[in-house]
Amino acid sequence: MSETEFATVMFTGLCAISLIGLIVMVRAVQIDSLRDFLFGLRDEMFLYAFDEELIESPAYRNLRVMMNSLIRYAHRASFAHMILLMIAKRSFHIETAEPPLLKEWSRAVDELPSPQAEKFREFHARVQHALFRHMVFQSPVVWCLVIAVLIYALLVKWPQMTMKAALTAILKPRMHIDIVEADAVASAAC
Amino acid sequence: MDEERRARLLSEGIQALVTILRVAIVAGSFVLCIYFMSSAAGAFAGKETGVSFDFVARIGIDRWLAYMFGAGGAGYGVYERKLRQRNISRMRGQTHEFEKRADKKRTSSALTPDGKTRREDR
Repeated sequence: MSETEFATVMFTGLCAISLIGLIVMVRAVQIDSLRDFLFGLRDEMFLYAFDEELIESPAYRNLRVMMNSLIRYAHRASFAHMILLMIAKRSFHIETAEPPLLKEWSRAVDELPSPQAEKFREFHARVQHALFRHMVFQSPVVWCLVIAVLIYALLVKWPQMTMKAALTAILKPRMHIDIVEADAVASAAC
Repeated sequence: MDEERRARLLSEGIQALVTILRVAIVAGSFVLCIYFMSSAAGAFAGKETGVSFDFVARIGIDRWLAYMFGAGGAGYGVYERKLRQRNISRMRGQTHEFEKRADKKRTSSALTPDGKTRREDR
């Protein structure tokens, strides 16, 4: 083996090790970023509930508990976890009901006057969107799927659509964010 | 065992599996790199290793890995900075809101909402 070949192999090995380290660090920052977003949203919701005197309402309380559960279990929110959970539930015929906390939240929101109910639904939608974005950007498997599906969608199916709209239209109905949400709430309740 | 408990156990099991797989992939890749490097060191010292290193030099993978690491590292830095700015903005926003309600005459540092220096102050 020549000196050049040796140096090349060593350099390749060091670069590969550094890349592995970088990937691990990026994943940690992605989790931090999701948590940071949820903290921000929780603060915003607190100020809204405070102003509207809804601090004691289950519409605020339960959504806050759900956000706290997601902040705590943000490291579990991954595409792999969601897919495996869906497959396992189907394979073992496990039918889980929606957690009582989320049911109570839906009921409490329905009982609120329309503008307040809309605001709480919007907070919930923002949580789901953040989770969706996190799960898409975190998984290299999803990146590959996204690239393939986007090329197909933008060129063949909806050439008039923007990339962001196509991505949301294709992935969002297929990503079972509610499963991840319910899992975090149930884990936190244990 | 009731359905809820089974679902919980399943979820915990899946989480354990995902974690094991993740650690195995990272640790496996690391061990593979070390193995290749030590084999190269052995071959350089004149030992017969049975590992071929021709392809590394042939496809120039070292250069591409270095580009990826450089670009990835820069991206990581930018991402971290954005996260820090968002964090400053969030912390500042909340405190600002509370203080404004308690003290109408409160003064401000006058930084931008994400903690950057104002253009006119540069």
